[in-house]
Amino acid sequence: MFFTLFKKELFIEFRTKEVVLSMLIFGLSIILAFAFSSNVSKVIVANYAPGMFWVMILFVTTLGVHRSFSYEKEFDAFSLLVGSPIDRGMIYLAKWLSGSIFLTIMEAIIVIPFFKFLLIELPSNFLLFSMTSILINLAIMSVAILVAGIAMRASLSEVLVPILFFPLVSPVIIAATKITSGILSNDPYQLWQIWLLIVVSVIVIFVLAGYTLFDFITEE
Amino acid sequence: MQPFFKNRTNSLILFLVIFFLFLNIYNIIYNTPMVPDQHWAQKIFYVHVPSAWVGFLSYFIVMIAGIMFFIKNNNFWDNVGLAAAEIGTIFISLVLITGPIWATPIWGKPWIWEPRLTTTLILFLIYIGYFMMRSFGGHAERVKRYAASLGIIAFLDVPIIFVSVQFWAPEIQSHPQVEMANQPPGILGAFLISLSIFTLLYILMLKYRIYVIQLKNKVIHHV
Amino acid sequence: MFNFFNYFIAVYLIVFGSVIFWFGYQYILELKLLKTQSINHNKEMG
Repeated sequence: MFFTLFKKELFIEFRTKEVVLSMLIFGLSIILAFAFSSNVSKVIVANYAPGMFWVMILFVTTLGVHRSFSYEKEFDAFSLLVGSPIDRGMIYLAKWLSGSIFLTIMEAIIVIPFFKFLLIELPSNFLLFSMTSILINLAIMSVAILVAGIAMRASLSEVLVPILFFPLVSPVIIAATKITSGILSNDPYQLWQIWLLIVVSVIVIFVLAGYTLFDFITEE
Repeated sequence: MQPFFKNRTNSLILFLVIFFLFLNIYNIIYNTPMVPDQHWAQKIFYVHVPSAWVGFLSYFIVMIAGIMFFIKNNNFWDNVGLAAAEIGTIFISLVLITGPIWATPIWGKPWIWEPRLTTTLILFLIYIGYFMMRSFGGHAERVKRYAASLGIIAFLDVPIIFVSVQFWAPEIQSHPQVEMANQPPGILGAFLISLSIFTLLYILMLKYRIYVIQLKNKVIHHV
Repeated sequence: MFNFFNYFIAVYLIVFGSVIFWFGYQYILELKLLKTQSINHNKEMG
């Protein structure tokens, strides 16, 4: 059952490419805004780069998650989905994992423009950066999908999703910035391992909560 | 429904609360030691910290009410959740207002990214979202479920938020009077008294608010 | 430099003032609702 839902998410995205593309374009616009607002030809933003990266990901996730849920809103496919006799927590899991995959794909592409346009050196330990970023994406998505499940059917969903999402995800952002800046400055693992622990706890807590609550959230 | 204070228990609690509050203020003004470098401003501590305690207690009750709402599917628990969310937000707002007022003479600047104040701020923002969702979330039955879920998620997030904010900027010194056990006895005792009185006040406020919400639901459904 | 007493008074006024204001507001709400309830009740009866 889970795999059917999961494959459906991936197939829709593979066909339309809406979510990843819109996230990419939005990400590029944000990078542009960062470049202009920080006067990047004269100012070295390497210190702020980790934070800026994850702020960009926050905005992009808000957009992507909104897009991902709006499919269901459009043709009221949600009621059909919800009416079927499945474990509705599976919907959460499918959206969480597929969303994380889309976010990772988008990040993999946006990393190069991010570092090049902001005139920062590419990280030397790219593998470590990628692996921790995948973990962070999972954490961000676990919160985002849960919030979107709650807020998407509201009338002001474009406003409500960010307002609910940003404060709830703040520990992940703190942790993400600490991890990334630790990796970029080649700090030893011990220095930032506690942040990894925080990211993993967020994943565990929110996935459990999401799986349990989605049943109640999507009742009609 | 009868007026709230016609009920014997409720008017008794009201009387006790008023009496003990006056006692509390008298105690704070006359019986507590004067801390050398903060003078009168230190006594803000006796209302600032109990407000925070009551606020967080209330948010905990919102989580419990959310869980109970899903288990029992009874509107009573939705009313409890809403009342606790409102009162919790009132006290958290008081914390966020009195904190800077206390901080200005003590630290010289109104705000500092101290872990507990920051956690309080984040929680406050989450609950602003909660009330927005209550207003704009859709039709009533759905909104109750969303509110219950949000109440549960918000409090589950609190320990994570607190830990991450604490390690975020460890060089920022904590609140002036963080170590409760190290306080001279005059301060600790008065603090505990104030804490219990604030809790009693909170219980009264919660009961009253639940009553008013239930009354409102009754009257509106009648129409 | 700082008049500590002013800050103390300000905080206590704000805290207890808000609580008193809240009780007053709830009381007025309660009165209005009870009045509406009795009007509805009378409509039903008469």
